[in-house]
Amino acid sequence: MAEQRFLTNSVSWAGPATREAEPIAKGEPAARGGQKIERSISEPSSLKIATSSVAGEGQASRRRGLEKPPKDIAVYRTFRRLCDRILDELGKFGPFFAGDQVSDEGVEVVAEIEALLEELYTCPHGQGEFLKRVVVAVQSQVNNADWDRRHVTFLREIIRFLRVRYLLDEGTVDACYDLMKEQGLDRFRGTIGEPRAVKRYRLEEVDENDKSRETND
Amino acid sequence: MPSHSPFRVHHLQASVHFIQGYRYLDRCGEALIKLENILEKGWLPSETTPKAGSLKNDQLGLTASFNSEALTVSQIEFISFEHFFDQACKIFETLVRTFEIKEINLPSIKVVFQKGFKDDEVEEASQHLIKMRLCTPNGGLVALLGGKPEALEFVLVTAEDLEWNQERVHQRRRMQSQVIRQERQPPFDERLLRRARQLGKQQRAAIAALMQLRRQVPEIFPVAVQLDLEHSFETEFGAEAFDLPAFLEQGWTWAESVSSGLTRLEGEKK
Repeated sequence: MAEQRFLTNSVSWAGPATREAEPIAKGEPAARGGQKIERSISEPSSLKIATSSVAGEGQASRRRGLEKPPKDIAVYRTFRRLCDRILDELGKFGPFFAGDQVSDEGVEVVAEIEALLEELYTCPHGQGEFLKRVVVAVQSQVNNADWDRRHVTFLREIIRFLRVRYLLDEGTVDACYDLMKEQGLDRFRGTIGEPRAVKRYRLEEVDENDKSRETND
Repeated sequence: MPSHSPFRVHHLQASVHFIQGYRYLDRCGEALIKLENILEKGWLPSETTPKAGSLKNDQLGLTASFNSEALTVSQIEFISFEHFFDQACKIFETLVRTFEIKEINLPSIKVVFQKGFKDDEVEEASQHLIKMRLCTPNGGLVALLGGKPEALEFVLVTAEDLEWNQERVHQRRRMQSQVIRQERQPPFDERLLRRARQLGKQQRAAIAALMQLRRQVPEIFPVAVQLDLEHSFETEFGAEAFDLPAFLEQGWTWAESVSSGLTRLEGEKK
């Protein structure tokens, strides 16, 4: 709004003829050296950031720049719709819990969510492969798994986190793994990152005399 | 220039207050570099000081200013909500991550509508605003002052507590109506005077575009009836969890519905 202040002035038909108290920007100190300063409680919420003059050049021909809508916005809306649909599906699990496990009746919802995750994987939102990496991480937890409350909570948390992200980056992928950990899920599920069969080796000291005796034998 | 034009969006502005955004002082330069790389072409950093950093994009009519307290993104005159939305969301997320901001408050979106009048039509503009009868002065008060109302400006603020995105929020909405006179500042950017080779590749491209834009004739109403609508939440939010896209869409839709409601009112008065 700083620029607007330079550009416009109320035409003072409704302004005072004399001004003893100038309106001040919100956030400025309320008193300066004994000078009386008034502040209206109906002032705008937006903060004015004082910067040096940022003149607005060439406004008339901006149309050219504005003709094409930004490509990211349409993709974001698709992405957002998919996330909202997944959240809607997650909301349907309520009657399908048997204890902590998702019962057989809930399989239909599971299948729907898995299909939506596939769609999310192909959605070109964000730069690079970050969305794909997040979706693969999510799928590593839920595909071919017996769903329980941890899976549902994890999915709800990650999708809520994702749906408000207009930019995706490495931090988004890290956040996904953090949420997995919070829910006690195994981030290496379905990978060879943490092998289950472990080979053990032992270091043993060998006496040199024993060694030469063995050779002679 | 058409006299008595319909109400048009003249200015869009979104702002968010940062809580503990002091890392601005350490990382402003890093933020500017990230923004230059992430945003659309045509963004140029303006003078940056410990008080504030700013960027502008003349092709999109956008300016962004930020400091340790807040971020403000504005678009003036030729409004494309989609560009505004796209760039504002990107700037917000970049700054939140760069300054590691945990909490924000007071998100707000302001939409300013103007109905233009000619240079010598200040009285007509004032009368137009009075005739819209958005606010009627007390007859007794008018008698006390003497004469008849020649100008009337007002501010109306409404507030309510409600649930938004599964959170309790205090919503505040504000409308200010006034008659304004406006002049455009003469365009000047110090970089226009520098030899092109002294500028970076990105800046050179932006300045070249600016040179072309300067030759265009600007269009602005010297006098206007202005309705300034602001939608805000006086609530603290987790910065990473705050749904800025939904907030902006909601504010924009609300402002449009108020504007069309006012247009209907105008029609009824006639």
